Amino acid sequence: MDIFGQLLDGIKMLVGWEPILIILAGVVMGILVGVLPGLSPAMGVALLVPFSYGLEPLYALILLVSVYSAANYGGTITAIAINTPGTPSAIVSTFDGYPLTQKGEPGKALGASVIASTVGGLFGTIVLIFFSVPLAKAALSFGPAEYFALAIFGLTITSSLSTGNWLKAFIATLIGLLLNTVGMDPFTGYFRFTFDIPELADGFSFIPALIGLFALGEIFLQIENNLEIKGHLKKISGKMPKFKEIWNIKRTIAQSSVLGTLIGVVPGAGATIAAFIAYNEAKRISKHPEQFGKGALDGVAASGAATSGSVGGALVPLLTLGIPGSAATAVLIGALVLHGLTPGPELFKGDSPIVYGIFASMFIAYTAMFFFGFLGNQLWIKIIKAPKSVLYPAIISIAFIGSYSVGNSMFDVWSCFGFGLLGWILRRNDFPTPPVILGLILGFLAETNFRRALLMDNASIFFTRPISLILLILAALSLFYPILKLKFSKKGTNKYNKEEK
Amino acid sequence: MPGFFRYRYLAKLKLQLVFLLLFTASAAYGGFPEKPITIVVHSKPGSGIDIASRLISHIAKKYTDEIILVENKTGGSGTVAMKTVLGKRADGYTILAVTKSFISTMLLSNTGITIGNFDWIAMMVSDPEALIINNTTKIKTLEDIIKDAKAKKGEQKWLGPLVGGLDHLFAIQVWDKIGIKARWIPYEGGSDAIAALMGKQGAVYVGNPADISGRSTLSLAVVASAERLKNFPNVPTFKEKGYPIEEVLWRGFAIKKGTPPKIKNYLENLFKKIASDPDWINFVNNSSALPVFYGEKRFTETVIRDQKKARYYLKKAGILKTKANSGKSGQIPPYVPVILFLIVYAATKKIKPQLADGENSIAFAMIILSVYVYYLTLGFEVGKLSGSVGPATVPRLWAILLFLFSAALLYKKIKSPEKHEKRNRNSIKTFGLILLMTFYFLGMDYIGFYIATGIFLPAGILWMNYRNYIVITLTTAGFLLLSYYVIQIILQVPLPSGSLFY
Repeated sequence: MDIFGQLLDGIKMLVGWEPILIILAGVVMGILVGVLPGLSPAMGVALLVPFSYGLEPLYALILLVSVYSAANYGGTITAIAINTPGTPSAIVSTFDGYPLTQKGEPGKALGASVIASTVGGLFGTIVLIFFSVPLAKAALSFGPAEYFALAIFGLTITSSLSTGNWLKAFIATLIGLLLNTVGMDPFTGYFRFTFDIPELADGFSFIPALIGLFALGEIFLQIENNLEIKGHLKKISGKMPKFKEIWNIKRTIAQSSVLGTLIGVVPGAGATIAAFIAYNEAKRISKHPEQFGKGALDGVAASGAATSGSVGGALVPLLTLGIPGSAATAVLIGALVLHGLTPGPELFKGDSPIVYGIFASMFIAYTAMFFFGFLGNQLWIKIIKAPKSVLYPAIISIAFIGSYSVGNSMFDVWSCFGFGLLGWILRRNDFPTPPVILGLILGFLAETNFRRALLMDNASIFFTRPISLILLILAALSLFYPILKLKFSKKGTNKYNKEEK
Repeated sequence: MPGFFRYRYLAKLKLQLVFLLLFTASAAYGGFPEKPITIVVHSKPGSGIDIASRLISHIAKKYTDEIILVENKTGGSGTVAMKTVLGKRADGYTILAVTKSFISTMLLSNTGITIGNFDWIAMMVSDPEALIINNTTKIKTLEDIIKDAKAKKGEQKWLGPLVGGLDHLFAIQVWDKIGIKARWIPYEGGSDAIAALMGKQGAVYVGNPADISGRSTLSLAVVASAERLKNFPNVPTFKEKGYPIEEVLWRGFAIKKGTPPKIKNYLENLFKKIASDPDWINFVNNSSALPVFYGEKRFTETVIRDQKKARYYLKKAGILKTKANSGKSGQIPPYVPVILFLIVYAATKKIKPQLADGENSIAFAMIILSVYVYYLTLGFEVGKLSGSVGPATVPRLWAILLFLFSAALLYKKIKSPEKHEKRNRNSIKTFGLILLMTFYFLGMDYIGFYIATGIFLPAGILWMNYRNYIVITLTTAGFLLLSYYVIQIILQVPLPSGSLFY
């Protein structure tokens, strides 16, 4: 096949110390950007665009793509270590990664995350190289009805995020959905619930909400509950997961990689939705679903593989159609233009297309990420070992930097604070907070596409288009399955509740 | 490129002349600039205008000795950025990167900011509006669009960004002048709408020539420029087709009104030089727009003319409210439900304390919230644009569901109360930390990030009963150093510097 020859050409472009050094630097920067809450992959790539201006186009692009590839993994590190998702998609890693850290096994979670992320990333790259064209065509057939059905399917994950009381999980989701309606209505220009505050015109920024609900909420709760246990909570072991433990969850990793890549292809869906759906599916196929949310290694792996897989997926529409598949790829488009390149299929034309250099660089970047990830884990574990009373104020400062840097606005900082209080109040009364995030992510997707579909056609469109119909049926199943299961095995649940107490 | 070097030499010479003039003529202002200049950008890093501004800061190194920084102040479709600039002194050190969309923003938001608050010193990019079609469908030319629109009787779909934006207003203008009717289908961003056009979900996309580059299935049907574009010689203009429609999206720079004329001239000249720099021209051409330079006089005229036009079409579209129905007075303010909640909570605590636990309180608060939200949606204007589902529908749906779920939870809890074992909670520590945080964030504006953090970190650690002073000092110092090098130096993310110190 011709493609292998061109890939070989691509590898040849990268021979020499300079490109390799650039990739390594990109990966380190990417992990760093990911680790810092508030600097999303898109922000990280954007911040390096002016820096790349002095480089030649290929080198500039491999730098930016390396940053993008590694940033999604980097976010999972802080999620696991300190319950602070470094990137939006890493929020799913907090569900099981942080409980593992609290059990004293952060090494296991961090190790599983780096392995799953590498596998997911490499899988996404392979799909990007070989299946771009048909996938991009499929992505274009996604109309408003399909997006709406996807959002509804996503919302039904609520029922599997509940830790016992599903009423509370739904209330939490609805809080997120309602908060999501604040801001200018995109269809009429009407300002909803903004109370004449100009900063609210765009609604609440997502990243400060995330940092507040998880990082700050957790800190407030921990201080309240655990302060009598001074200093170190538990013995922290730096042990990495055993090979067998990873082998046991190979199916979860594979499945999540596929889901992450495919959902990443759909423009506008993105890594966060991919991670949620992969987590949900991992829980469904798991032999021990009751462990989820309490430190299941499959949960950590599902999130890592899906977020990294979405990188390759998001590059599919960028390279084949010139349409960004995610916020970070939108920035890449700007970078391409800055370097005088045309995003889209033009990149494949010419004698030695630059695209194959990018493909080859992604393999190197993920390999480097794997090694840096393992080396770095020891460092993160050292940080986790720091006494909580030192760590918590530092996390608050990081939360400040993270929410401020989103738009250099104190308003975002205060809304982060507000979400922190909300998260704390909810958590101390056993309301789960992940559904709030689910509502915040999916509310807009659901509403705008619902209304757009109705502007374009009548309501029957949701049931006459095959993808939409299938997704809606899946949604109905996934909504009622856990609830019914709970009802039918009342005995089991009671026993389980007792165990918790 | 000898010409280029000669040019640079001349530019340097001119710059020196300017400096000389500034020095001799104005002792009061000293030499401008004598500290870094900041360009405030209203969108996120990586957006088109952000990349352009960062390139300008890069090119400006050739023409000025002071650095130009780019700072992103996002929010409110530009209001936050505008407020930032207006909040600074009118000394030319803070420049606002502007685009035509600011006109709509000023008209639609009620911040009271108008075009008169700024001096519009340099317009740098002119990007003609265009109608874009999918060339694998039957609709390829303006005539095809008109024919199809008439056949579909107002059901033809035009795709583009959000309602009230430039492209939407342009579409309304086109419908108006051509005499057709069509339906505007708004998307979150231009690229989402482009994807929809590529997926044949609509007939026309309203955008700019750059939108088709690299996308072989898309073509320009007609452009709204005065003449045919150099890069697209085969694409007709509206004028040729007999319709007097000319519309460009401009980008440029503005400063706060009241800036001394000498500084204004200096900046205008600086932008003029950048506007003819080959690197800049290349960049603008690459993005299929036209590099131009309009100085203050011409730019201001353009802005005034465009505002008039925007006001007219915003009213036509039913987006700009006339004074009569914009009054939202008589609405119950948000503190009323809060007080109501507190009263009921206090009463319950007094009468039946076992009911006033956290879960019931949240459920009850949510019931009040959902009722209040529903009440607020009653005041929403439906508008001409909403079609069958207006702005109130979805929030109402969520509010009703929230009400039902919360009521169910409350009912369940009151009917069969669970017994709580008393949790041993140390709430004083949490409240103290929250108070500390409040001071930390409040102080940031005055004393800046580094000093505030230098106080907060040790204070927070001490508050949590940690007493190893060496560790506290080292942690604080290490954190400050790390955040300075990583955040500010390597990643160049600005942190608050504090208003007391500059």
